[in-house]
Amino acid sequence: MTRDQPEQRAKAAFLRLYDAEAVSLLGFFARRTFDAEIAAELTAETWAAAYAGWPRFRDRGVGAVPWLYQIARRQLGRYYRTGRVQARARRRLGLPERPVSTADLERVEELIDFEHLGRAVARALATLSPKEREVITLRVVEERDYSDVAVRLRCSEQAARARVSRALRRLAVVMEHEIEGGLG
Amino acid sequence: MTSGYEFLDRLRDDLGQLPTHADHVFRRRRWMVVAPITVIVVVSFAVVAVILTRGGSTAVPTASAATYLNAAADHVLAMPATHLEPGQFYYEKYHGTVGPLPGVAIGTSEQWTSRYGTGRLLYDGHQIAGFTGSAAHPAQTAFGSRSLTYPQLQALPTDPNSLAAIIRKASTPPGPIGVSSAEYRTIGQLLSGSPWPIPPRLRAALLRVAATIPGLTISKNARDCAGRPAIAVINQEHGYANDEPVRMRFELFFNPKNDLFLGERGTVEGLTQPFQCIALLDAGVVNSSVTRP
Repeated sequence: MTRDQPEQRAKAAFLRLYDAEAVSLLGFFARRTFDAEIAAELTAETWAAAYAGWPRFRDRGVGAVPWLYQIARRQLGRYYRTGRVQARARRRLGLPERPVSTADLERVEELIDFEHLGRAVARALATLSPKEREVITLRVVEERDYSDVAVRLRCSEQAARARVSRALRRLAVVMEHEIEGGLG
Repeated sequence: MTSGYEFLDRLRDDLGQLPTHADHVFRRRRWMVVAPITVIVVVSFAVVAVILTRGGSTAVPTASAATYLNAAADHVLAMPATHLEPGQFYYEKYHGTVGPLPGVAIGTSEQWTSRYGTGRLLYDGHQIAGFTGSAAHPAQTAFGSRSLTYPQLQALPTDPNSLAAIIRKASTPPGPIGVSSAEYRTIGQLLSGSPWPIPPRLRAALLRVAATIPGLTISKNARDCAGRPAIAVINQEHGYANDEPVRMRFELFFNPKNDLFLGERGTVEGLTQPFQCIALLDAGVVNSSVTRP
């Protein structure tokens, strides 16, 4: 047996976890952020953090999935607090930045079960300010692109993106409890 | 195998192409510091750690820790065995944190497991469907690099020497920690992680094997992860946190009144919160997967 074999086995086990959970984890983030790009970023950062922590993972008889989702919740919490997705774990591992294709982003959006979320969204929207409701209505309900949203809001496209992002984040935080109970 | 998402497949490729964890740490250090010196230091450090924890002439079990573990083993032997009959479930309630990052809360879990590995798991009161043992995917308990079913757990030898050989074989040192440290973790893993009752003779043998591990120390005024008074048997390890070499501390807790196992904790020196903390709160045999003892 070579010295490297246990490490190789550990890595193979990690990749098996990845194969089993990658899409589920992506869905977890998509349903909680309503933003395909953010969901993809959070997914990548979570897997990088999980890879860095894998040598210290110890199975307690229920597998690695709860452990993985604890990391995911921590990443999500940071995003809710700061509005940014950290790239610390990816940078430390030296993972290259990979843009996400439009086709992928569209498919991620399909993971967001809007029908199921409808009532919860309506309740959560009621808790937002009129301005926040307006930007979400323009971007999400009326599906206008950012340049159009910017015209309506009389601001730059960049500012429109930021306002939509902030409003969605607020919405996501309000809805977190509902999602936890309903979708898992 | 593809996920159906191009970026997920690329991420998998990127992760797959990373060096193994040990290599990765060495590579970063080469990049950050002077390469040859670092390699010599790290290798020397690992060799010394292995010698110290593997039974080198300078390290022996701390007498009081070994004495305590052997005495605890005697007490355990006097306890009645818990039988898990077909149709019954072993209930366990535990609280704590497990994770690679300090302060990752796991909350309180309740677990019902039959001898066939079927059952259910509640996490903070919510049923975790995906983690429930089923007939097709029965629950197993981790034991170093092995996973044990209920019959395999029952079949573990109760002779400490035979058991020690199995523990040694199942214990892969995660990184450059001594083999004995890995063995100590394997013992803790079974004591705190088994979803089934551990027969007293086996439990006693686990403690006697632990008593042979060099370098353990004891604290008789400790608190476990639930804040209960406890006796802690402590092993100091060299490990990694966020890919940096650190000193770690791995503790097994026992009830000072009856020497029953209470849980475990893993901490990184310099950090206030543990990276791992399990407190067993309740356990017992019940007749259905919805009742509690």
